[in-house]
Amino acid sequence: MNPIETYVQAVTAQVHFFLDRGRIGDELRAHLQDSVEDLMQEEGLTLEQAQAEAAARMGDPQAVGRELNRIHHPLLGWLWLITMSCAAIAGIVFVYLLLTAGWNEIQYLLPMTPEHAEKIATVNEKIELAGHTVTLDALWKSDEGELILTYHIRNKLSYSRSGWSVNFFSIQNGDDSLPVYPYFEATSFFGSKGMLTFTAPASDVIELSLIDGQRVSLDLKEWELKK
Amino acid sequence: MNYDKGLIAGSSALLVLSLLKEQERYGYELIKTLKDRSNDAFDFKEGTLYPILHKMENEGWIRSVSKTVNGRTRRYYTITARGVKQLEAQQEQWESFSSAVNQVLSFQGSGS
Repeated sequence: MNPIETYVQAVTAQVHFFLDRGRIGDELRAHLQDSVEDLMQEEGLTLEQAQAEAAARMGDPQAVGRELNRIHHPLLGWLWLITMSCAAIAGIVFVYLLLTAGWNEIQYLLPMTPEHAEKIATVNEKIELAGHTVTLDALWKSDEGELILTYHIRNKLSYSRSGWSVNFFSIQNGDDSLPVYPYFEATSFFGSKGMLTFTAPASDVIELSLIDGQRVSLDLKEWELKK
Repeated sequence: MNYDKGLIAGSSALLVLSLLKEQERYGYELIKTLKDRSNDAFDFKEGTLYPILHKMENEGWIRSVSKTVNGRTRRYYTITARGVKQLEAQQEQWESFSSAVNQVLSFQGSGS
């Protein structure tokens, strides 16, 4: 290691707040390089002589290092670092929450599209239910031959978000079969969307049982169904 | 010349601030200018300048920026508004101090 490096290392080793060592080292190195150049030019020294002389003119590296250490106080340095890190983390968390909230809203606005299914009819029927508007969007046929009814619920903004754990309605195909409950795809501040999968009724009528006691019958013959 | 360390330490901030008030400078440049202007009277250990500069930067009297000129990267220091005020205060202090000392030293009293 040349005398310049030796000197710089000896000084920076005294600085306990290691994050400042790079900057200090660079500054000292630049100084020494300028000094070496001038010594070679004005005093006619060789490179080795100039380096040694330049380092000597700097003074005791331990003393300089100790003085610098007192000024680059570790406590204040760490305090600043911790505060800045906390602020940065808080910022990242905030942006993440904002993005996920935004994403939920976008998901809700996109129409419900069941996989492995073909749309057979657009229903677009609206039902008023407990202050919310339930819109039955479309009827689909799955690859397995089942029917799927997609819908979305728009919350009136005076309510908090639709209680997605409550099943607003179910489909009843005859008294002896079990009711089919919806599967909720997305919930957001504005509402939720979902779908019900059920076997096609023998009669061409779907019976919807709503939570407030309403019963809605959908006559499949009303729409152009592609059988 | 070997001045009393106390004298140098007390005046170094004053000297550096006045040089930086003229123009922005980097460390080595400050050392050279001090040497030249004082006819080598101020020729102290060069490394000791940096704790002084960094302390003054902490105090807000000067600020620094890294600049690359002709392929060389150096840290340049400039005086701040607060630094200018500090310089004026220290200059005043120096003048009144040194004139007081001179007054005492040159006192021609009756019967010494």
